[in-house]
Amino acid sequence: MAMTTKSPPRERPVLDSLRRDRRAWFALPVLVLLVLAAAAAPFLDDAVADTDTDNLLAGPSAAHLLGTDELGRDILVRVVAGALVTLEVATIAVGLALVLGTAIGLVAGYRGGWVDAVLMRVTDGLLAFPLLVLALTVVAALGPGLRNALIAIAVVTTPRFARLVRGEVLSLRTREWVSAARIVGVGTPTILVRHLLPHLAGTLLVFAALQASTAIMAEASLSFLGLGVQPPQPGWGGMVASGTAHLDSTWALSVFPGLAILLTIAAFNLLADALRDALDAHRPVLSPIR
Amino acid sequence: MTAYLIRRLAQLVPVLIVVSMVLFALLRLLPGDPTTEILGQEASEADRAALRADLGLDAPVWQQYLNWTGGALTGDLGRSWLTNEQVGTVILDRLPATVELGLIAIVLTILIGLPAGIIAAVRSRTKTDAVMTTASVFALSTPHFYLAALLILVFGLWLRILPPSGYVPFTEDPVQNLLHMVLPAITIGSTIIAVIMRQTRGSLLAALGEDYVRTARASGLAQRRIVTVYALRNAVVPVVTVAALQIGALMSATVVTEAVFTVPGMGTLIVNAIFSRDLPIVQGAVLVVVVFVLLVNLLADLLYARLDPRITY
Repeated sequence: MAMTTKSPPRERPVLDSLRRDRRAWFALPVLVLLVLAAAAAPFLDDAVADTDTDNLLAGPSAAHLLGTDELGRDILVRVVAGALVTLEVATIAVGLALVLGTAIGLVAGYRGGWVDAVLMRVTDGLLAFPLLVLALTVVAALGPGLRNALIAIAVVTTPRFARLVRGEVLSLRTREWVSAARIVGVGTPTILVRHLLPHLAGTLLVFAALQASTAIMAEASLSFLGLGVQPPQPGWGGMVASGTAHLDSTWALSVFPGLAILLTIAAFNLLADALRDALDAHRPVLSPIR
Repeated sequence: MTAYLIRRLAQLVPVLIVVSMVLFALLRLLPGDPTTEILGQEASEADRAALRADLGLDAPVWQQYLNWTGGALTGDLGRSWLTNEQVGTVILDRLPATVELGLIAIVLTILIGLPAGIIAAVRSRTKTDAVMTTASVFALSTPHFYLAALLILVFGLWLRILPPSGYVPFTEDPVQNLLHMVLPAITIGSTIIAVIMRQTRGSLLAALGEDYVRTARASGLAQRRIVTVYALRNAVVPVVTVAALQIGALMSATVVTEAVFTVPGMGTLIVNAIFSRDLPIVQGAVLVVVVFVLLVNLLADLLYARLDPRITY
């Protein structure tokens, strides 16, 4: 927080803050597990579809640590393989929204005028929808399926990034270094990418982590309703759904995939909180004060 | 105040235009012929053309849009492709269950979220605070369908003290109605309870650090009185705003939760209409939900001014 005369490298104190943050220590192993499980998914194709027809809806055993589902498939294997869909949501759908939303926000905030007015009215209109309701509407138009669910989530997340970035740009564009760049004749695209974007990196990182948790919840909800991941592909939301029919006999079928969703979302939420605190504490003096 | 209200209502116009355009574009410009959905694959081309004319689908797109929005403004949302019922009638049929669920969830929020936030703020940096803050993180991280499944498992199947799902109209049997509403309302309320708890804790902590609280302390007022009378009065204003902003999230939660508990509300209406590709129903129901959310937000802004006399419009 304190302004020192010698400017220390910025990354170190942020990492140090994170290292002292218990929230980060919760998030790290969960997210590492998520990535490892997703990486293992392609090698589990056979195991995921393998049906043990003598053991339908079986309880935990040595052969099936968490038991089996209604088709005799191993719950643990399917929970591990289901991580892939969740990771795709967090990277592909949120990544798409991050890129599109940031571009829209940068242009709207920097150009102002009618460009800003048009872009922001559309953004406001999209933000007026409850998130899941808009996602459902998009899926209604495109049809069910994982790819369309990913598109739907990108559509509902993009205006959120656009709003955030536009707000930041409005306060940054009047700064001296931006005016200076403009006066010496730097082109608009360069100003946007080289002079504005780097100042948004921290904010965007925190926001992307938060949106990842929202997006994972939305995808899981769509899949739970049967509109996202289609069987037999393993996805956590769909697994919880198929388990609700067997809650009184094989509760593991719903409980473990659901627990995986819960822990992943919590990890992204806590990571966002920890990151925000770490970045706020070491924010350079030039950045906007909020 | 009246001028402010008019200005705010005027601001809603462009939002509603965009909302209606998005809804129309998404659902009407998609590939495929709705007459195939209604009449099936085997229908003759003559029958299709007749139906298209009947549904107004032969008009230019811009005219279809104006027909739909014009109708919506006068309360006519068209007819279901599946049952030919008035969309408005179907929605009015489904609205009570959703509104009841929402109201119970809000009551739960006031009964649980607000006091929890106050306790967490008063006991800030103690174990109580840490436990409650952690609990709120997990409440915010639990998908509603999952919480619903867990509640059904524990209260409906293991303890058997509440019905695991289903719906009984209030007019038929008020007691059974409320019993069936408990689990879905807790499910829907979980998010907003956690948000309100966090917001109350945050803004009450801020208020407790203000000079007037120090003065009140110095003049020997009891802690209870300082918190409830002085600090809370100021802390509650941002809580109202945050609560109103949660109404959208509340609607999202309702959609999934109604599906799990098979409550015949707006959520199940939208989801079932998506499955049966009954687009007029999807369009109409989503429009009603969005308008409702916008009006609640407007109401919150007006309430904001009532709660904080320093704000004038």
